[in-house]
Amino acid sequence: MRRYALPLYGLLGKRQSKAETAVISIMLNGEQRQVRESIADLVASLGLDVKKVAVERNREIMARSTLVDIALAEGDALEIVHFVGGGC
Amino acid sequence: MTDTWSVAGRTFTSRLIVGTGKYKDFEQNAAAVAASGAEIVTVAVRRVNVSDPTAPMLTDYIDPSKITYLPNTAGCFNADDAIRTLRLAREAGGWDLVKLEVLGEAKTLYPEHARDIGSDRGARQGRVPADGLLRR
Repeated sequence: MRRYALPLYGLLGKRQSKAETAVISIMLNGEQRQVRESIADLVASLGLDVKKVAVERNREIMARSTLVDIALAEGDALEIVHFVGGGC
Repeated sequence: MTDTWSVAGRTFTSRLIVGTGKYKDFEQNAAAVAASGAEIVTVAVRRVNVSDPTAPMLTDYIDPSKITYLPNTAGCFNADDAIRTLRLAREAGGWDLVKLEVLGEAKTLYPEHARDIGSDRGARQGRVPADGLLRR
Protein backbone atom coordinates (compact mmCIF):
# COMPACT_ATOMS: atom_id res chain seq x y z
CA MET A 1 0.00 0.00 0.00
CA ARG A 2 1.38 3.42 -0.97
CA ARG A 3 1.15 5.89 1.87
CA TYR A 4 3.73 8.46 0.86
CA ALA A 5 1.12 11.18 0.41
CA LEU A 6 0.29 11.37 4.09
CA PRO A 7 3.69 12.44 5.52
CA LEU A 8 3.90 15.00 2.72
CA TYR A 9 1.00 16.90 4.23
CA GLY A 10 3.01 17.22 7.42
CA LEU A 11 6.00 18.62 5.54
CA LEU A 12 3.88 21.16 3.76
CA GLY A 13 2.33 22.28 6.99
CA LYS A 14 -1.21 21.50 5.87
CA ARG A 15 -3.86 21.20 8.52
CA GLN A 16 -4.45 17.78 9.95
CA SER A 17 -8.01 17.69 8.63
CA LYS A 18 -6.62 17.24 5.11
CA ALA A 19 -5.63 13.75 6.11
CA GLU A 20 -9.32 12.84 6.13
CA THR A 21 -9.20 12.66 2.33
CA ALA A 22 -6.77 9.78 2.53
CA VAL A 23 -5.90 7.81 -0.54
CA ILE A 24 -8.17 4.85 -0.93
CA SER A 25 -8.00 1.88 -3.19
CA ILE A 26 -10.95 1.15 -5.49
CA MET A 27 -11.70 -0.94 -8.56
CA LEU A 28 -12.43 1.26 -11.57
CA ASN A 29 -13.75 -0.63 -14.58
CA GLY A 30 -11.93 -3.69 -13.37
CA GLU A 31 -8.61 -1.93 -12.70
CA GLN A 32 -7.27 -1.11 -9.29
CA ARG A 33 -6.83 2.62 -8.71
CA GLN A 34 -5.69 4.86 -5.88
CA VAL A 35 -8.02 7.84 -5.56
CA ARG A 36 -8.92 10.53 -3.07
CA GLU A 37 -11.83 12.31 -4.74
CA SER A 38 -15.58 12.27 -4.98
CA ILE A 39 -17.03 10.35 -7.92
CA ALA A 40 -17.72 13.56 -9.83
CA ASP A 41 -14.13 14.74 -9.40
CA LEU A 42 -12.84 11.35 -10.45
CA VAL A 43 -14.93 11.46 -13.63
CA ALA A 44 -13.65 14.95 -14.37
CA SER A 45 -10.05 14.00 -13.67
CA LEU A 46 -10.40 11.23 -16.25
CA GLY A 47 -11.31 13.89 -18.79
CA LEU A 48 -14.88 12.62 -19.08
CA ASP A 49 -18.04 14.67 -19.41
CA VAL A 50 -20.26 13.67 -16.52
CA LYS A 51 -23.30 14.26 -18.75
CA LYS A 52 -22.19 11.54 -21.17
CA VAL A 53 -21.51 8.70 -18.79
CA ALA A 54 -23.29 6.61 -16.23
CA VAL A 55 -21.69 5.44 -13.01
CA GLU A 56 -22.41 2.28 -11.12
CA ARG A 57 -21.00 1.85 -7.62
CA ASN A 58 -21.04 -1.62 -6.13
CA ARG A 59 -23.65 -2.54 -8.78
CA GLU A 60 -25.91 0.34 -7.79
CA ILE A 61 -26.49 3.09 -10.34
CA MET A 62 -25.65 6.54 -9.08
CA ALA A 63 -28.00 9.34 -10.06
CA ARG A 64 -26.00 11.98 -11.90
CA SER A 65 -27.18 14.71 -9.54
CA THR A 66 -25.66 12.91 -6.55
CA LEU A 67 -22.19 12.25 -7.97
CA VAL A 68 -20.74 15.45 -6.52
CA ASP A 69 -21.69 14.49 -2.99
CA ILE A 70 -20.59 10.89 -2.97
CA ALA A 71 -17.22 10.17 -1.40
CA LEU A 72 -15.69 6.88 -2.36
CA ALA A 73 -14.95 4.23 0.22
CA GLU A 74 -12.09 1.76 0.39
CA GLY A 75 -12.80 -1.25 -1.78
CA ASP A 76 -15.60 0.33 -3.81
CA ALA A 77 -16.15 -1.15 -7.26
CA LEU A 78 -16.96 1.51 -9.84
CA GLU A 79 -18.15 0.98 -13.38
CA ILE A 80 -18.19 4.00 -15.69
CA VAL A 81 -19.94 3.36 -19.00
CA HIS A 82 -20.89 5.34 -22.09
CA PHE A 83 -22.43 4.81 -25.49
CA VAL A 84 -20.32 3.22 -28.19
CA GLY A 85 -20.96 1.95 -31.68
CA GLY A 86 -22.31 -1.57 -31.68
CA GLY A 87 -25.30 -3.80 -32.02
CA CYS A 88 -28.01 -3.61 -34.59
CA MET B 1 -48.36 14.56 -46.77
CA THR B 2 -46.23 14.01 -43.70
CA ASP B 3 -46.05 10.49 -42.41
CA THR B 4 -44.94 10.22 -38.80
CA TRP B 5 -44.80 7.66 -36.04
CA SER B 6 -44.29 8.03 -32.31
CA VAL B 7 -42.70 6.02 -29.55
CA ALA B 8 -41.91 6.97 -25.95
CA GLY B 9 -43.17 10.48 -26.55
CA ARG B 10 -40.91 11.09 -29.54
CA THR B 11 -42.17 11.55 -33.07
CA PHE B 12 -40.19 10.49 -36.13
CA THR B 13 -40.64 10.77 -39.87
CA SER B 14 -38.07 8.15 -40.87
CA ARG B 15 -38.69 4.50 -40.05
CA LEU B 16 -35.10 3.55 -40.65
CA ILE B 17 -32.96 2.74 -37.63
CA VAL B 18 -29.25 2.77 -38.43
CA GLY B 19 -26.66 0.70 -36.61
CA THR B 20 -23.30 1.93 -35.35
CA GLY B 21 -21.32 -1.28 -35.21
CA LYS B 22 -19.79 -2.07 -38.55
CA TYR B 23 -18.50 1.20 -39.94
CA LYS B 24 -14.89 1.94 -40.76
CA ASP B 25 -14.89 4.96 -38.50
CA PHE B 26 -17.18 7.49 -36.84
CA GLU B 27 -17.03 9.88 -39.80
CA GLN B 28 -18.35 7.23 -42.17
CA ASN B 29 -21.05 6.28 -39.68
CA ALA B 30 -22.16 9.90 -39.29
CA ALA B 31 -22.18 10.34 -43.08
CA ALA B 32 -24.36 7.25 -43.48
CA VAL B 33 -26.84 8.53 -40.91
CA ALA B 34 -27.02 11.90 -42.64
CA ALA B 35 -27.39 10.38 -46.12
CA SER B 36 -30.10 7.94 -45.06
CA GLY B 37 -32.22 10.50 -43.26
CA ALA B 38 -32.48 8.13 -40.30
CA GLU B 39 -33.42 9.76 -37.01
CA ILE B 40 -32.51 6.86 -34.73
CA VAL B 41 -29.25 4.99 -34.24
CA THR B 42 -28.76 1.91 -32.13
CA VAL B 43 -25.83 2.07 -29.76
CA ALA B 44 -24.16 -0.25 -27.30
CA VAL B 45 -23.17 0.53 -23.73
CA ARG B 46 -19.61 -0.22 -22.71
CA ARG B 47 -17.05 0.62 -20.09
CA VAL B 48 -15.18 3.84 -20.65
CA ASN B 49 -11.57 3.16 -21.55
CA VAL B 50 -10.02 4.63 -18.42
CA SER B 51 -6.49 4.20 -19.68
CA ASP B 52 -7.28 6.40 -22.71
CA PRO B 53 -10.41 8.43 -21.93
CA THR B 54 -9.57 10.97 -24.63
CA ALA B 55 -10.18 8.43 -27.40
CA PRO B 56 -12.86 9.68 -29.86
CA MET B 57 -16.42 9.02 -28.76
CA LEU B 58 -19.48 8.32 -30.88
CA THR B 59 -21.25 11.29 -29.33
CA ASP B 60 -18.58 13.58 -30.83
CA TYR B 61 -19.73 12.57 -34.32
CA ILE B 62 -23.42 11.77 -34.03
CA ASP B 63 -25.13 14.42 -31.94
CA PRO B 64 -27.53 12.83 -29.42
CA SER B 65 -29.57 16.04 -29.33
CA LYS B 66 -30.38 15.63 -33.04
CA ILE B 67 -30.31 11.87 -33.54
CA THR B 68 -32.08 9.66 -31.03
CA TYR B 69 -29.79 7.13 -29.42
CA LEU B 70 -31.46 3.79 -28.92
CA PRO B 71 -29.31 1.88 -26.42
CA ASN B 72 -29.37 -1.86 -26.99
CA THR B 73 -28.27 -4.82 -24.96
CA ALA B 74 -25.85 -6.25 -27.50
CA GLY B 75 -23.65 -8.79 -25.80
CA CYS B 76 -26.11 -9.62 -23.04
CA PHE B 77 -26.90 -13.29 -22.66
CA ASN B 78 -29.15 -13.10 -19.65
CA ALA B 79 -31.87 -10.84 -18.33
CA ASP B 80 -29.85 -9.62 -15.37
CA ASP B 81 -27.11 -8.25 -17.62
CA ALA B 82 -29.65 -6.80 -20.04
CA ILE B 83 -31.59 -4.92 -17.38
CA ARG B 84 -28.41 -3.74 -15.68
CA THR B 85 -27.13 -2.47 -19.03
CA LEU B 86 -30.32 -0.63 -19.87
CA ARG B 87 -30.56 0.99 -16.46
CA LEU B 88 -27.06 2.34 -16.99
CA ALA B 89 -28.02 3.44 -20.50
CA ARG B 90 -31.01 5.29 -19.16
CA GLU B 91 -28.79 7.15 -16.71
CA ALA B 92 -26.12 7.88 -19.33
CA GLY B 93 -28.63 9.15 -21.86
CA GLY B 94 -31.32 10.61 -19.70
CA TRP B 95 -34.21 9.19 -21.70
CA ASP B 96 -36.43 6.11 -21.46
CA LEU B 97 -36.19 4.63 -24.93
CA VAL B 98 -34.22 1.40 -24.99
CA LYS B 99 -34.00 -1.73 -27.10
CA LEU B 100 -34.20 -4.94 -25.15
CA GLU B 101 -32.78 -8.14 -26.54
CA VAL B 102 -31.22 -11.14 -24.91
CA LEU B 103 -28.97 -13.18 -27.12
CA GLY B 104 -29.53 -16.89 -27.44
CA GLU B 105 -26.04 -17.79 -28.54
CA ALA B 106 -22.89 -16.06 -29.70
CA LYS B 107 -22.60 -17.28 -33.28
CA THR B 108 -25.78 -15.97 -34.92
CA LEU B 109 -26.73 -13.47 -32.17
CA TYR B 110 -30.25 -14.76 -32.65
CA PRO B 111 -32.40 -13.51 -29.79
CA GLU B 112 -33.77 -15.72 -27.07
CA HIS B 113 -37.40 -14.68 -26.95
CA ALA B 114 -38.37 -16.42 -23.76
CA ARG B 115 -35.65 -14.49 -21.97
CA ASP B 116 -36.64 -11.28 -23.72
CA ILE B 117 -40.06 -11.67 -22.23
CA GLY B 118 -38.61 -12.47 -18.83
CA SER B 119 -36.44 -9.36 -19.05
CA ASP B 120 -39.34 -7.19 -20.10
CA ARG B 121 -41.40 -8.42 -17.20
CA GLY B 122 -38.48 -7.81 -14.87
CA ALA B 123 -38.05 -4.33 -16.28
CA ARG B 124 -41.68 -3.47 -15.72
CA GLN B 125 -41.51 -4.66 -12.15
CA GLY B 126 -38.27 -2.84 -11.61
CA ARG B 127 -36.49 -6.05 -10.70
CA VAL B 128 -35.36 -9.17 -12.45
CA PRO B 129 -35.76 -12.68 -11.11
CA ALA B 130 -32.44 -13.93 -12.38
CA ASP B 131 -33.32 -17.59 -11.97
CA GLY B 132 -36.92 -17.42 -13.02
CA LEU B 133 -36.69 -16.47 -16.68
CA LEU B 134 -37.42 -19.80 -18.28
CA ARG B 135 -39.83 -20.92 -15.65
CA ARG B 136 -42.90 -20.15 -17.69
